[in-house]
Amino acid sequence: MKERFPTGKPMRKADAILIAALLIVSIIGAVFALYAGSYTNEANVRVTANGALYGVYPIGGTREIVVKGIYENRIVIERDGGKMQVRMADATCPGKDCVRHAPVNLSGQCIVCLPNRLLVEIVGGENDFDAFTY
Amino acid sequence: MHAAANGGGGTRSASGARVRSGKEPQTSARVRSRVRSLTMCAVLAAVALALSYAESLIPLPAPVPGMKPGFANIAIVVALYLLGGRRAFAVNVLRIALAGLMFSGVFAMFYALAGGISAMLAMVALKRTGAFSVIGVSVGGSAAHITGQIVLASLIIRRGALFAGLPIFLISAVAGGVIVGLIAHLLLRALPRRITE
Repeated sequence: MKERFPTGKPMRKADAILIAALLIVSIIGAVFALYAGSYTNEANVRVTANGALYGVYPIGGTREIVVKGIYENRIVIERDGGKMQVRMADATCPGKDCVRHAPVNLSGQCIVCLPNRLLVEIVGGENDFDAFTY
Repeated sequence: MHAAANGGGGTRSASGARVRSGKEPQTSARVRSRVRSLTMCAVLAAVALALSYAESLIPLPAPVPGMKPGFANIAIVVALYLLGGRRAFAVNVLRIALAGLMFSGVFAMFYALAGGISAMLAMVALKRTGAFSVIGVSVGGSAAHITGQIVLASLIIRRGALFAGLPIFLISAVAGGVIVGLIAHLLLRALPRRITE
């Protein structure tokens, strides 16, 4: 009467291999991204809106960039302690995930606002992630 | 409803009322199983929707905003094993559409759909190999889900920068996939098999 669904063992060899492979690939990727993202003063803040280049701004000085699309985003480049950082100060998009995102300060890091199709990334310096562009 | 009325095969009296006969259970077995499976679809879609909603109400601390364990996929994985790929996909699309219209928004709906399609393809493929348990299938689905979403986001933004974040998302996807897979495994083990038969 109480026949169960045949689930088998919870963990098999193939599962362990899959999990290990995914973890190894992502740890290597994360280390690479972190290593490649060393901070340099020559870095620029590149803003892409609607799939097109909106502007490139040097990370050297304090600046505020307002991008108007379907929604409005306010990007701030500022000094935090000893380092320059970029953060999404304000946005009118529904989710506000971009505003909750931690400030970024490494080359290769980015903040994205998907509803507004806006990408704010740190590029340049010694380690340019432009190699990822397609 | 229509299936039950037309394909039932049960004898009817002149007045239209169903006549109970000895043959009836045998002839309507297929229909009953279909109704049962449809009901199961509806129940799992409701469970998935409720889990989605609960998850949207309780924001868990995540390193990147928008990162979440995806508990709704417990219902989807259970649907995959109980009802098969097509029905599980239907349940997931229903869940995503309802969640999008009710609380998560249209943008999130499209990303969820991209993730859902990728995850379902991966899970069906992994399940077919027969080498993976529920946990492996769930982890594969979870990893495919986030990869699909990042591919769609990159296509929309038209820059590859988002792929730099993929490793972090993959690690969290593996963690989420293991938890979801384990819960789904325990649920499947606890459910009587005849629930869909």
